[in-house]
Amino acid sequence: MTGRRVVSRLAALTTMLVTALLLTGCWGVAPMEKTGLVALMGIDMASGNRYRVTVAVINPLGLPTPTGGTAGGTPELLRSAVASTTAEAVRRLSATTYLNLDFTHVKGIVVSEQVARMGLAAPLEFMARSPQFLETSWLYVAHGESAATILSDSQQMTPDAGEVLAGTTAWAQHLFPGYADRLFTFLNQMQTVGDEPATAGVGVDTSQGKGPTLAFRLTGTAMFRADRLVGWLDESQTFGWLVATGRAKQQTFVAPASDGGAFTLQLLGVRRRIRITHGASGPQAEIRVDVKVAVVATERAPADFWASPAASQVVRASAVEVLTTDIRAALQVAQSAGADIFSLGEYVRVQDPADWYRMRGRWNTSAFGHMPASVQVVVNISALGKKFCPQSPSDTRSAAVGCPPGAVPGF
Amino acid sequence: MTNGQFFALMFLAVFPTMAMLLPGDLVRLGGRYGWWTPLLAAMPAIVAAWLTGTLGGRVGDSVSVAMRGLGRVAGRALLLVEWLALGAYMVVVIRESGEISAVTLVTANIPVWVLTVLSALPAALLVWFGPVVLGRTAILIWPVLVFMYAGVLAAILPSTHLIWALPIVPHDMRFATWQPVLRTWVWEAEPTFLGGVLMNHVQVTARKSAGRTLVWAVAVSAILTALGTWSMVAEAGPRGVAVGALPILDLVNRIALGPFVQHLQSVVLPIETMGTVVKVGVFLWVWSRLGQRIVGGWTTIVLVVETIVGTSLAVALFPSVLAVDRATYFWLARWALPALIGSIVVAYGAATIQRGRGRT
Repeated sequence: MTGRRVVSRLAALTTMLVTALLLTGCWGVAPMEKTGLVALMGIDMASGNRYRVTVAVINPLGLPTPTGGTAGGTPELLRSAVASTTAEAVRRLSATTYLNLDFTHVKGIVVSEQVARMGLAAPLEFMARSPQFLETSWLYVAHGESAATILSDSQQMTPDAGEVLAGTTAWAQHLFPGYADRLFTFLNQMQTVGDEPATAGVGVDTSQGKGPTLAFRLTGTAMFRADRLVGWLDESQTFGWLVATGRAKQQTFVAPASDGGAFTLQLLGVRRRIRITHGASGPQAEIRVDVKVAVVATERAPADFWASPAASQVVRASAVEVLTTDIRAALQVAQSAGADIFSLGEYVRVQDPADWYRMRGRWNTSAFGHMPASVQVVVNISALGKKFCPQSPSDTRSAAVGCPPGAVPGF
Repeated sequence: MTNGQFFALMFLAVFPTMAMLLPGDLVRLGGRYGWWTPLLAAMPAIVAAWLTGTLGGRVGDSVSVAMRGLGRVAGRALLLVEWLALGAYMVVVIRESGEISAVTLVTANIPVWVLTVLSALPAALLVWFGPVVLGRTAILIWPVLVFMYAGVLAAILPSTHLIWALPIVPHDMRFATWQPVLRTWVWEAEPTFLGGVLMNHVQVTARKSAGRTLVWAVAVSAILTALGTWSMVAEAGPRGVAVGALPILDLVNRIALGPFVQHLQSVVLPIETMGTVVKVGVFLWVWSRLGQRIVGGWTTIVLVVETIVGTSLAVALFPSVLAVDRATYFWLARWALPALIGSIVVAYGAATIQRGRGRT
């Protein structure tokens, strides 16, 4: 090999080794035993208009051992600091512990009602800027208690409170009326006039006992105007809002039957359409919701329910009434609070731009509150559940479900 | 170099930094409909790319054409102007790649100059191996980059608010004003002047379609950037995109499909970094080629000196990313870009006139 080739190869090898530094995953990584993974973060107001930031740090020694008990402490350790900004409080937290606090795995951020009413832009904004944080954390408003209390009450949850709260949120989005926004969605939405943010209220359900059996409960929906909390939706209004905004997925709801019975229905699909028309006093909204449901259970259903086509009309009418009532109630509360969580302003911008540019400045303060809006719900029943009536007159499987002998289902 | 490699090089010379840095500017300057700007600006950029590619394919690369058409002295003077303008581009491109490494790849407090040097080194190595190696690297990376980009856009679909990005037909024309269009040309014109210099390394049989290749490079970059910007507006709203330094990075950080598909930065960012390394490589190769023609040889020395000078200037001139942003508009859009396009027009114009005289 010639000298020139040796030099070339050595130069190439050296350059490759040097540039391999770019591939390292070890730049500034702290050892595991010194890493404090923050699972939950709470923000409260403290005296002097300052913020109290509380963090729940995962404590591996506090997790239950296979033989019962723990090696030491609770599954989470709480630390808190007070400062005039949340960024400064986080810096103080980091400075007063030997742990290298890692905020990239924060599952949820809980803010107190007081903080939410004063505005979330200031306390949350630095999380969007700092590479220390990921904006995928869920955001909650502590309903009726301080954020620090919620973190303290949830300290004994296993595997850790962050996982439990994230799990509760995921279930809520599919099964029962509860809806939390992720931090980034909230931060983006609070900057959009005509589409205001909303997120879940949260509390700790202590009725289930203490320790690992503790559970979170999502309590209604906090409505915001820009970054300030302006009101709450209760559970049925939350359901109406979820359905009317297309956020509902597979939640169940109960539609009363005329004779005191009830039908439990599960959503299978929701499609929302909003049409804006120009009226004499400005834009008018027509909200139409097409819902597909399945009957999950019946209570005291009429004897001929499973076989009679007319009976399905009863279910349909009852479901329409429940959904319409819930949607109207939610819309009314949102309009009186001046929080356009239905995104109607955005639809006005797209479908009636002339009115939008005229009303944009006073959309939240008056225009949204006085905008006429009609609600139309169409329910399609997709299935009556697993019970069946005979598929043919010769089928004899109908005895158990009360179908008349030889009846063929009409729906 | 095959036509595919030529396309890959030209695409990577535009897309990696354009997709990363431009959408924020487009929405800041053009509002909700800023995503239209790459499509609008692509029209003249496509015409320029097609002319350069077609002429280059017929009469040769812009460097040899300049020397041939204008003579050794005037030709070198023109190349010197081109070299200075491309140098300005080069310095900004090296600094951008360092900045992208700083904000994407490494979270620890590594000085930006270290990352800038580390980004320039592999690019210089690729250039040292030659344009064919550069082309082969590019053809491996570009489909991965496009696939990754499309994947990111698909992954954010569940968290989009389509209404934020509607209507498609713009209600105002801020997106078509001078500032956003000029900034977009800074990127979309790159295949025109880079392709013109690289032309002689394209296989002779492939040169006939070089114009089409350059057009594709501009068009695909413009369409993907427009689509990406539109998706960003649908996901973050116009204000959310406008305040983000690197909106595509924000997008990647926010991907959360269930509890497990999260933290995708570790997958996305190395690919993006590889793309920027190839981009720096293309610029460095073209810049060193111009330098070599001006001094008349000294291949390795020119490359080494230019790498050191370009990297040093990138570190020294731009203390922050804001300075890079100002440079993009004030240096490149107003001075370097007209100088480069002007040089190519003069070079091919002189060659065409000379050809005409030769025929008569």
